[in-house]
Amino acid sequence: MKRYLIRRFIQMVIVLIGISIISFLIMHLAPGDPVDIMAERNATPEQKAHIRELYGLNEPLPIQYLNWIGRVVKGDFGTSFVTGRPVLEMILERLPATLILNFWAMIIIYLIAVPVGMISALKQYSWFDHVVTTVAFFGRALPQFWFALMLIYFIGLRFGGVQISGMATWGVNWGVQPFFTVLQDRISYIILPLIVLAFSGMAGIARYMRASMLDVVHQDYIRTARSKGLPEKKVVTGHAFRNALLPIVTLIGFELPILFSGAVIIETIFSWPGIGLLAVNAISQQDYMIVMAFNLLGATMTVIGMFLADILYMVVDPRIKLE
Amino acid sequence: MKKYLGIVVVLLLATAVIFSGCTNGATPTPSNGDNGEDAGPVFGGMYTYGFSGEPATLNPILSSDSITSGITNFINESLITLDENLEFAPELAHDWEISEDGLVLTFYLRDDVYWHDGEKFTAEDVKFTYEMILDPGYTGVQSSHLKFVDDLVIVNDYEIEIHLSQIDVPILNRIAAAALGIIPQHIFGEVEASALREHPNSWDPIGTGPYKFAEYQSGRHVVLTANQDYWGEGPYIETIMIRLYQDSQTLLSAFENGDIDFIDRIPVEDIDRIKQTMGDDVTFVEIANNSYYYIGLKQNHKFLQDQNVRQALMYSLDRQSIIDVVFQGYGTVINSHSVPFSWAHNEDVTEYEQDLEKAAELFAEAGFTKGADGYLYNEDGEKLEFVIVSMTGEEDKANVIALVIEQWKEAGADVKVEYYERSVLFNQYLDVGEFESYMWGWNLSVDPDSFNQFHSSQAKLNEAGEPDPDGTLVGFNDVEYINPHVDALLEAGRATYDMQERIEIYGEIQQILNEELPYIFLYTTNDVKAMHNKVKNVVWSPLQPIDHHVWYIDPAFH
Amino acid sequence: MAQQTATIKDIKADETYLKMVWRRFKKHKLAVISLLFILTIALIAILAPIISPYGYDQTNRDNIMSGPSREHILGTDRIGRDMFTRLVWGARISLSVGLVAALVSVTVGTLIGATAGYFGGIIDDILMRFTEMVMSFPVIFLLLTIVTLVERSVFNVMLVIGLTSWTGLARMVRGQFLSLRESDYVEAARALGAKNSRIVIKHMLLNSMAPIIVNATLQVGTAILAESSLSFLGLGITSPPSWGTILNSGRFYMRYAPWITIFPGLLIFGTVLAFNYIGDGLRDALDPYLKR
Repeated sequence: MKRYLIRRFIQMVIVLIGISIISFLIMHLAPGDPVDIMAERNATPEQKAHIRELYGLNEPLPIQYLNWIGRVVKGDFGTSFVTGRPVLEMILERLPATLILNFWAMIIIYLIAVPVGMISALKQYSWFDHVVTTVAFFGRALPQFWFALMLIYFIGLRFGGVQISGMATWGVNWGVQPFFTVLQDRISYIILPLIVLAFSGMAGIARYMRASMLDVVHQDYIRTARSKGLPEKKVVTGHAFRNALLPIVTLIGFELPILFSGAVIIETIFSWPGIGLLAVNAISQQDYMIVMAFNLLGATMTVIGMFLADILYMVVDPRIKLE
Repeated sequence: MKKYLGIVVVLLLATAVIFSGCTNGATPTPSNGDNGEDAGPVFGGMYTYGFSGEPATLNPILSSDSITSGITNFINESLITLDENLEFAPELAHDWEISEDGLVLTFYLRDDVYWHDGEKFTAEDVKFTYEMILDPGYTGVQSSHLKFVDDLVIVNDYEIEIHLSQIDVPILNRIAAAALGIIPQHIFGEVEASALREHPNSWDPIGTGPYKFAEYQSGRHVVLTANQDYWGEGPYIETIMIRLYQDSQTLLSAFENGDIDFIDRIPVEDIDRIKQTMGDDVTFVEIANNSYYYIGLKQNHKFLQDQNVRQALMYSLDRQSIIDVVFQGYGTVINSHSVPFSWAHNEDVTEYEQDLEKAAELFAEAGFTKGADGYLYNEDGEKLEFVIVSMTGEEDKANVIALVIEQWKEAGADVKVEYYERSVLFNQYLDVGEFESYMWGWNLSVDPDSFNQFHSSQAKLNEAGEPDPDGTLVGFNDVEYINPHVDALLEAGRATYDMQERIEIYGEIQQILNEELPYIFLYTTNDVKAMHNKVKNVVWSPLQPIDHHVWYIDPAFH
Repeated sequence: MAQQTATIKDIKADETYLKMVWRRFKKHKLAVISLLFILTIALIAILAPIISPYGYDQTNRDNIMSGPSREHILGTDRIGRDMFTRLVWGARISLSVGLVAALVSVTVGTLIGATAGYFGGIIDDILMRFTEMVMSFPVIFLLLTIVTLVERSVFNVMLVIGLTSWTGLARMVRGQFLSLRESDYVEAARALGAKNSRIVIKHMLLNSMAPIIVNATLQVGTAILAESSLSFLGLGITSPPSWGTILNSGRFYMRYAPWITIFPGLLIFGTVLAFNYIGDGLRDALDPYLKR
């Protein structure tokens, strides 16, 4: 186990280095740079060439890479070309909004999808199971942004109590207004993006849970428990449920990057002031430092998430022995 | 949309300019929705407006986007400003004069102005700001504004001279712009010009203006508060809240919800509806944009080099119908490098009303006849075809191009469009001048100067500085329009303060451009802006609401 | 998908493999309906120039943003172009983006997975680390970043989508190959002196075919969705327009012309759903032992 962990860790580091190189190269092999976007046509081609030189955009790539990665390791992701502000600061100030949205989406997804998937498995081939399976298929095929637009059109534009952009009314703050006033305000903003995220996220988890439960139900120890004459309820809650949850627990590792990058498009549609908006803008402005930081952070989280998932899996399921 | 446009073409010395109001069909009226009980300015209340997008910086001299200047406008001030008639008015300088030879500008500064942190404002700050822009390490785009500045001489704390290397008539107008807002030396004095953008105070600005910076939350808002010690009148509004939205549609719904009091542009599709639903509470003002759109034609292109072809292309278009469809009539056809409300506008130009027969004649003169497939072919059997390059993500422009292409197709020209990402478009096409044609728009100013676009020294030049199709593009003459007579006129127009003379010079330039057509001149648009009636005493210049410090909020809304 | 217990008995010895697959596929009603749906869309796409009543860029000045009518059965867009015509042409773009991107994705995924699985060892290590790297990037960031940087053309969009979506398949194929490598008949073939390449092609690849085909089918749907997301952010294919681009163009006029947004969205939704059902049907049909 220890040997496995060490090997796994080394692999992870290698992957991370590769990721940093890819993040860097994608941006720098591209035509154009932020100067074009910053200066637009306010600066003549001659002036732009001058600014480009000032930013050191003419240095050889390996040197630019080493400079960059050297600072990243120390936690300095550089400053944005466009705003001149530290990239990390720009990301961190927008992270809370993203976390709030994705956190609640995830809570709702699991609260609904886990029991639904479980019941679906226990009542395999029932009408309930069919409905769940169908809805899950729909959820997977539904274009998220279209669903969002439809909600805006059919609900947002028709009902005054539902907001279609932003995340809070200015001046309505916790501790200033009564609790329920603020709560109502926050819900009116988050409700539509939350519905979209929850609906599209639920499909996968419910199907996963259903499959996992089916797996468990057919396992020998459940049959044994049944044959021992344990009441069905006890078999389900005591044995099956607990064991079926194991693979779900490991999913938490995979959720880590989703917290970060899960809602890019939804944030754009609903003007949710999270990092998704920042990322989309930075990409369109070719603001190198921000885009590289995003790709690097997003990928790093995935790698760490997978690593965690592996470990969690070993912890929760003692039957698995690697090597 | 406006922020995509770019250049502020050289402005004018407008002392003699009389700007009697306005534009065709667009008459800005003061929004005095009051009903007589108005007791005059009262301090307090909040004024909110919104932008779609984010400011790139809050340092005026680094701004290149309209959002930044829309915010710094409240905080920082320039030496002079433009009043509601677009004439020069005092701001930090209470007076100014120009030497006989036109080479020295002297500004007499106010001696009662303090920075928001309490320091005194002096001529040193002015010199510092301008020198920062002239520093080789400066990373902004304003350096061309001060291109001909030779020296900055401080006469005393409240008097400064700007020495020019050559007469530069439009410089006063640039000085009056928000982009040359003065920044404090005692804050930025130690910083290298190349690190100015990263300086914390570039995001925590300190100015001399009527409003102080209070807070910026990315993706949400910028908050400004009244500067109680402001040297001038007011300010009367206690808080200015500038909200940031993602797109024009959310901006509009915010306006409808009452989240913002002013909207800069109501999307044309929504104007009628908004006028109906909100007509009681807001004042609408239709303002012509000081900008125009065109399709630039490469002047040495194998087909487009023929003036007959260019004119025929112009006659093939029904530009009014394009305005009617895409902008629902909120726009005006233009025929040269000038918008109708400019003081130098020359009406005496060919109007190029759609005339397919005339177009066919001109095509025939150029050697093109229609083939069996309906397209035009020359004697060598070559089809009349070329490509327009344009930028992705701009619905209006894409719609215009679709209509233009369709009309040209009817006339027999096979034109395709290719869309590119902004940086790709600049890097591989516009900034290197490599294209057959492209669609773009220029932000103008009250000055008709168009040196950067049409002077041969701004085209592709070789090592010797001569125009050369294989050279490097220097300025914005990307279509490589070369006409020595126009060159001479453009130079003359920049070098004389005589108003009448300038009107004649630019009138002639417009006629030549209208005939020779370096561009397919298309249209200029009108924006319908709306201001909530609770905001009182709003001053409208022909371009925008100005003088925020004298506005106030109806006390009933405090 | 869930009939595995029932279906194992379902194998008839005297049947060819393909016949069996078809017989079993037919049992999945939704998959059959989906197949018919896709075939219809494909036919419409192929016959676009014949079917469409107008040109896809042809405008109608008198019918700006008009609702469905006899003249324009699905209404017109912002500058009076016929929606039905545009959607018919859009089918061409969207379907071909889906198909080509899936082809790219499956080719790359299979090649990398097969190479890694067949050779094992250091080659496996390198390829799998590379796969992990690509897999780690949040797909949407990666897509956006690259699409912003390359020249926008139908082909590039296809390529980018394909090149960012092959990792799952690569890992699966690798797994299959690793286990097949040790299996009896590959051992046997080796013992008989077969050349490396023959072993791979004949045995391993054929034996991995079922999951590859299923994956390819699902990938078509995923690619269509990906293209529409790009279009939504203004980075899609414009002329002729893809469904996503048409949808996006109506976004700001939803209040006045909801059909511009609703119809293409329904088409994307339906098409992706159909590909998913076909994939599901194929999964059941292709391999009786394939476990869910």
